[in-house]
Amino acid sequence: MMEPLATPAHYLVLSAIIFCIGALGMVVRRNLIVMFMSVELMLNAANLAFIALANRLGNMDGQTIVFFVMTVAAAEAAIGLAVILALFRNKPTVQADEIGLLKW
Amino acid sequence: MPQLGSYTLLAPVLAASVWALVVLIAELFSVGRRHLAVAWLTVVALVSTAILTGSLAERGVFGGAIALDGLTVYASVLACALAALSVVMAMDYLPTTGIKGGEYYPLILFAVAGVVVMAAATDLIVMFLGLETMSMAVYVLAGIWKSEGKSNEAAVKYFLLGAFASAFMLYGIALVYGATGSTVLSEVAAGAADAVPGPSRTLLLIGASMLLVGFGFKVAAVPFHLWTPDVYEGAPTSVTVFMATVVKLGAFAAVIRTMLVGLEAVGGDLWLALWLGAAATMTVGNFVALRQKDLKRMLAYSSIAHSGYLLIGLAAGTPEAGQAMLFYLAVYGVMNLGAFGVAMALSEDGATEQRISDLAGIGHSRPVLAIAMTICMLSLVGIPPLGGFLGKLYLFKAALDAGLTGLVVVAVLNSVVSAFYYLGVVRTMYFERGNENPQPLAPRPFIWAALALSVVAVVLLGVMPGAVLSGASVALEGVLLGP
Repeated sequence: MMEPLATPAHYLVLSAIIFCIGALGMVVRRNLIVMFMSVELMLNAANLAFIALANRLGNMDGQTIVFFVMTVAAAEAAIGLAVILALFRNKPTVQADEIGLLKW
Repeated sequence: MPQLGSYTLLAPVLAASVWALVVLIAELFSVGRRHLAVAWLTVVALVSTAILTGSLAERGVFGGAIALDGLTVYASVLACALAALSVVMAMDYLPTTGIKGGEYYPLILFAVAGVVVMAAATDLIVMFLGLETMSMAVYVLAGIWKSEGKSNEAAVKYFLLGAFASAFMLYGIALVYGATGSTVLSEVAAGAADAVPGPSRTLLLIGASMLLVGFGFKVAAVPFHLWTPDVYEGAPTSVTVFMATVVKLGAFAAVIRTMLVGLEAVGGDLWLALWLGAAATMTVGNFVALRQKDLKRMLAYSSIAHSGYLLIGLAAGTPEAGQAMLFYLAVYGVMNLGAFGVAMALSEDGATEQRISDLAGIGHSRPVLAIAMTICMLSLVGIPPLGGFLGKLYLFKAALDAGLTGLVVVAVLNSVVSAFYYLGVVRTMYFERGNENPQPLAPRPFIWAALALSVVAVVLLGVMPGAVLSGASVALEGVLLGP
């Protein structure tokens, strides 16, 4: 029988890499929408970690949790875009550097 | 399939969320000036939830995820009480702002429901869901003044950094799950106690640290505090006071259950991080507050400093420290309600900005408000016989008993520094000349009533802390962690 090409450990490493890309994007990028996308990347990295760990541990908890997280991410997307839109109506920009009424 | 348990165990969560839906529907039918009726319905909702929760005698865990124990009862009743006072203040405050929608009140109730879930959760994922329920309601509340640029900006900043923190927390939960094979606190605790040094132990420690980072954002601990002054300043004041009191209570209640009791075995390894975090949070909060000119920004840094004091309890990690934290949260809540209440009573147009220098002379022109503010400021410094003094006393004593002498010294020195800016407000009110004949303030009976209740509570917690103190000590007896 052939060894599977990717083991749960590989997926865990991949999820850590994706999480770091998201965290870095949040810190480096200044476009509100891109920053928000970075956060979504981090949440999905956590999802991948849950699935990989569920596979390794052999219990279903991790896979169920992913559904909850997807719901949370969807609700967060709805609220995040609404909040950014409300800001955009007063000041048409999505650049974090250009919204400076409060010291960032 | 395990037994779910009696639905009575879910009563606090159910009451809060069902009331939120009822108020949401009632709001649909309120037009014109009937907002006040919705607000009163919200107060009834909060008070009845508090009474119901307080009267429940049954104890246990529902479905392995939601516990009804002393901690749940204490945190839920306190959250309802603080939220009710903030709603009463909002009744007078909101009409002075440009906030039109009545969705304000249901959102407060949804946030309280989230706080109740956070305090009651014995499963890390359920705690995460409670945190998100609370946070999402508060993101919207921060930006509810849609025509005000600062409110929009506060909401965007709070949302982005809050979501960032949630992602850290979620990844932390994933790692804890990987290390212990479960997200139920009792099993996590058992796994943590067994874990021998090795990859699994490392994974658990990284996971617990990431959980702490997530909590650190929510309670505004240094170095994750950068959002706090901006969001506190930009949000409408009645929302700011809700964030400073109820949201912080929810986050700390969850911290007490998960970190102080649940992950006790890990606490020892994170001891240094907690020590440094507490010391840095107090010091940064107090020293930056010294330089603030804006009242709400100053109170924001003060709230960071108080998070630092509360973190001492977490660093101490004993049940006594947990009790002291719970008592301090009650005192801290009413002190802040008082201080922000005065700010709301004085704001003419609901403006988000309020300079400390604007308080000049109100000691003579508005003596009652000045006395209320003075009591709150003295209590925030920690001067006997007010509540703030007893809160700090219990907290520092628990830390001393746990051997954290160095940290207590730092905390006492910090309290001395904090006296400069808190008493600076008192000096401005009494010894600086302001407008001698100010415009009479519009009558704001609700703010005055809530303010009076808060100030009385600040004094009572200092002279007769018995009831709240015994509630806090019962809360830490037999904290449930799972089925």
